[in-house]
Amino acid sequence: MNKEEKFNAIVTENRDRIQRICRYYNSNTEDQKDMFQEVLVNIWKSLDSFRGDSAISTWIYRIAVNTSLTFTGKAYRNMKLIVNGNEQNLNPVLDEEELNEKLLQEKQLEQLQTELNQLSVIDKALVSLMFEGLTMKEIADVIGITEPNVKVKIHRVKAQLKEKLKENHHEYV
Amino acid sequence: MNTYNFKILNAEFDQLVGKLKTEDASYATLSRGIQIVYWILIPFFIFMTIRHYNDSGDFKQIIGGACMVLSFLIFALFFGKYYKEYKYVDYSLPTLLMLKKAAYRYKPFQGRTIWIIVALALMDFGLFYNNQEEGLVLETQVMFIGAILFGLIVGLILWYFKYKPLRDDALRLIAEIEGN
Repeated sequence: MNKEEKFNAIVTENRDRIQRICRYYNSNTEDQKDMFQEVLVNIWKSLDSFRGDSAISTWIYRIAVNTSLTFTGKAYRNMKLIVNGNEQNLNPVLDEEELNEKLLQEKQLEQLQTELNQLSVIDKALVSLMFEGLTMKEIADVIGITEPNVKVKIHRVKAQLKEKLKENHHEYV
Repeated sequence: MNTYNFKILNAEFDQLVGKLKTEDASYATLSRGIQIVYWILIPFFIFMTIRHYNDSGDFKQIIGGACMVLSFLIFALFFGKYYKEYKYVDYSLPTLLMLKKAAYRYKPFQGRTIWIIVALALMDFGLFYNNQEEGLVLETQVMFIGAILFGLIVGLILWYFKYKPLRDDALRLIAEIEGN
């Protein structure tokens, strides 16, 4: 299989995965499209170094996350982490009971969205990987830190989000 | 939410692949072209050194020629590696490692810069020995050192405005990832 065939196969197989990551970081179609193209370019550039040591999904997530950090199309500081109102994959961040309650209330979803966007770039990357359903071990492989370190960071993000949401819940009541 | 449907037409996708392949090809051509220049200059200098030595019988010609050849050899060996490293960043590395590599890449003076200094010093020695006979030592040294200093200043200005912000961002992200 030559480079072009390998590239086509990887992109075809992982298109949905890349799309989702691009959607997490960009609200408008043009930015999503630009980032998608940039991820494809970086897949091409990194293809020669793919040895199959890690799962292809981990490899793709690394490229997508690394592209999001260095995305030339827009300043990453201003990147927004976009979550869909009907996303079922918010449960890693919130308890199931809380999730059902929160998702029913648009205001609180908006609040969650706002709070997510207050997170640091790295925390946003961690949350986007959680939304993707990656395990702590897989997230550790993507970011390059230890699994306990990922757990600590995610625990902190969850606590921070819950605290903020609780504060605002009192305000609503 | 207004989202791009990602249904990239085959033509658009093929166009992207075509561009990437063209970029690969132009990189390979440029890299090979510059390597060829070095590999032509090296035997040329060896030939000229031997010829000058035969004409003058001055052993300094041999020393000067050897210094020039060695400096070209160092540049030839390092160019390909440097160029590839800057042109093709591996985005498939773990994020922390990629950022650390970026921070190193955008460092103005790296450990391996010593080889460039060695190559330039050898070139300077080569010019010094080769121009002794013509009595052009001072002029050559002023020109050479002036050119190096000018290049260094321009390079540092470029680095400050173009690469330092990238390095600072990379260092900040590294601190954020490594911080608990």
